[in-house]
Amino acid sequence: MTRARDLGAALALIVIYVFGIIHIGFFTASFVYLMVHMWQLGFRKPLGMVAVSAGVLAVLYGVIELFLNVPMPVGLLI
Amino acid sequence: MYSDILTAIPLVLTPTMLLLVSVGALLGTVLGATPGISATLSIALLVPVTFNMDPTGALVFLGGVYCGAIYGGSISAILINVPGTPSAVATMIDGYQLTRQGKAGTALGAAVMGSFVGGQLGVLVLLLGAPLVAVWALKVGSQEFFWIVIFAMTSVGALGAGSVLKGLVAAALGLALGTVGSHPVTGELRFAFGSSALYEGIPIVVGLVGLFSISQVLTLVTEPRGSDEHKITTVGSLLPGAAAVLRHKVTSLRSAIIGTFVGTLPGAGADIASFLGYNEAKRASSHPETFGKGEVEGVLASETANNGVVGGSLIPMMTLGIPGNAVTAAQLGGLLIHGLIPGPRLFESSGHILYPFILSLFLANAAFLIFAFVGLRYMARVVLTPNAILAPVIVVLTMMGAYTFRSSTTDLWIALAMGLFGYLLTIGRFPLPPVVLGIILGPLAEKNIARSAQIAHAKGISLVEYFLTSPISLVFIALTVASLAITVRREIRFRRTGTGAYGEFDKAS
Repeated sequence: MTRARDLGAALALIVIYVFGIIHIGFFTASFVYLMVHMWQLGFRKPLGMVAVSAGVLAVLYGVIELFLNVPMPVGLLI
Repeated sequence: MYSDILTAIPLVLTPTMLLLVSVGALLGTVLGATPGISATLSIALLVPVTFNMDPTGALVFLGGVYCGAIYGGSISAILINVPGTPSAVATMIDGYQLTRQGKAGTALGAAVMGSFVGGQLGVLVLLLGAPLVAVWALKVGSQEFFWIVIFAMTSVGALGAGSVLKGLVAAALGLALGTVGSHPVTGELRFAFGSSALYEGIPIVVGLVGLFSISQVLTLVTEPRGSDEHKITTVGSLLPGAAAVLRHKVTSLRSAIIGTFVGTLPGAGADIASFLGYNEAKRASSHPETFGKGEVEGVLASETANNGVVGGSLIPMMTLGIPGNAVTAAQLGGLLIHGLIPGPRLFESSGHILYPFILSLFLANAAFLIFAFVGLRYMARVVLTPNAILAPVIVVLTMMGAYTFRSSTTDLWIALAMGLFGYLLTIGRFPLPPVVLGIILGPLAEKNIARSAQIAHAKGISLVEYFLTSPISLVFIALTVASLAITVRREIRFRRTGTGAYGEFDKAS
């Protein structure tokens, strides 16, 4: 039954994530979502989780700022 | 045409373009090598990055990604026996055997050199062939264009799937999704459900990225995990494998031609080409029994063919605006957002963008060759990325792409809904490429029906007569019927005997 559980968890997390993007901002929501979903899927090295999340968001921030100039939804933190 | 090529050369050899093509090829190789990210998904995820680039730069970048991703799929096929992208399935057969014998470097060398040779030949055919097709395309009328679209949809639906019926159902679902939004001629709103986000139809970039990436994420999280049993062996020198191209000139050339030709056909993508290339090499070989046991020629044949597809598949996409497979459909998404209108007039109106793009593909193939020789041992590490990291990261990239398209939060929900839809289709074993094609080509077909109706009315003849009388229409109606007949016959035989025309490919799909 792990398959059904993982599928349900993924769907729930993605839906909460989209609400998060809209209400608390893209970067904050993405960071929290990445950490939680990696944990749920069994990648549980704290340092690795932070490194991946921060790394991905740093790259995306650079891409958005340098190339796209699109303001992402911002919220409480950034 | 030759003067067009000459004027395009300096446009490509600028520092910006060289940078874009190299970064594109590098990203394509890395993403293509990552199991779980197909060539189509690589492009879908990277199209949003090009929103603010000028059209030429955007196409050059995405072209680099296409070439790199098709090559990159071979890396994980060879090293861990998992295709990085579906086109590398045939590469696994001999590639992984070589790795088990400690000759990973030889296989990787043959793969990169084969990809380079196949890619260059395909692009050469594209450069010389596309303008000729484009001239012919200008003579195509509305009613004829409609039949070309129907032919493309039927072939992609029927050929690309394990089951003809499921493929055609997927194509029909795609066409239905393509009717969302205002009618291309009358402007009447359909299926918008009062949401202004749907007035212009399902935004292609959002639909594409949602359909392919969210459905892939849902597949990834339900896969049994743990790629821990795989360890990357020492890669070793690529040179002996690369030199295999010189030893097997005939195989290389044959595969490159097969790949380019297959690429031009709607419905047959790089995956089919690589199997055909492999099977033909095996059949022509004086020692077919070595195939499957670590034959360098097998790796070469498969990889040369799938990169040959790149150039070939861009011919119908650029001259008619009709993508024949999912990867070029994604590439077409890149064209659309930059205001290039697909259709028979694309080459005439946008030749100044398309020629530099075609030329840049030569550089893209050279770029991944150089990157492979310089840093394959570092790039090879991505093949071990666990799904637990990959899946959440793809979701974040998807949402960024869906949002940045037009800064609409509704698009995030559209992407999610399309992803869920795609996942349901996937578990029902319906293919996704016909759906995307339907969304793109549906409005195009509709526009041409409406225009034909106006023309027929003006001429005072019935619509049916107008649709059925031109020779080009009749040719494409015949081709549509033929492609259906062939695929249905193939399926009946497959059901009866359990063996299909593509051998291993039928089992894989």
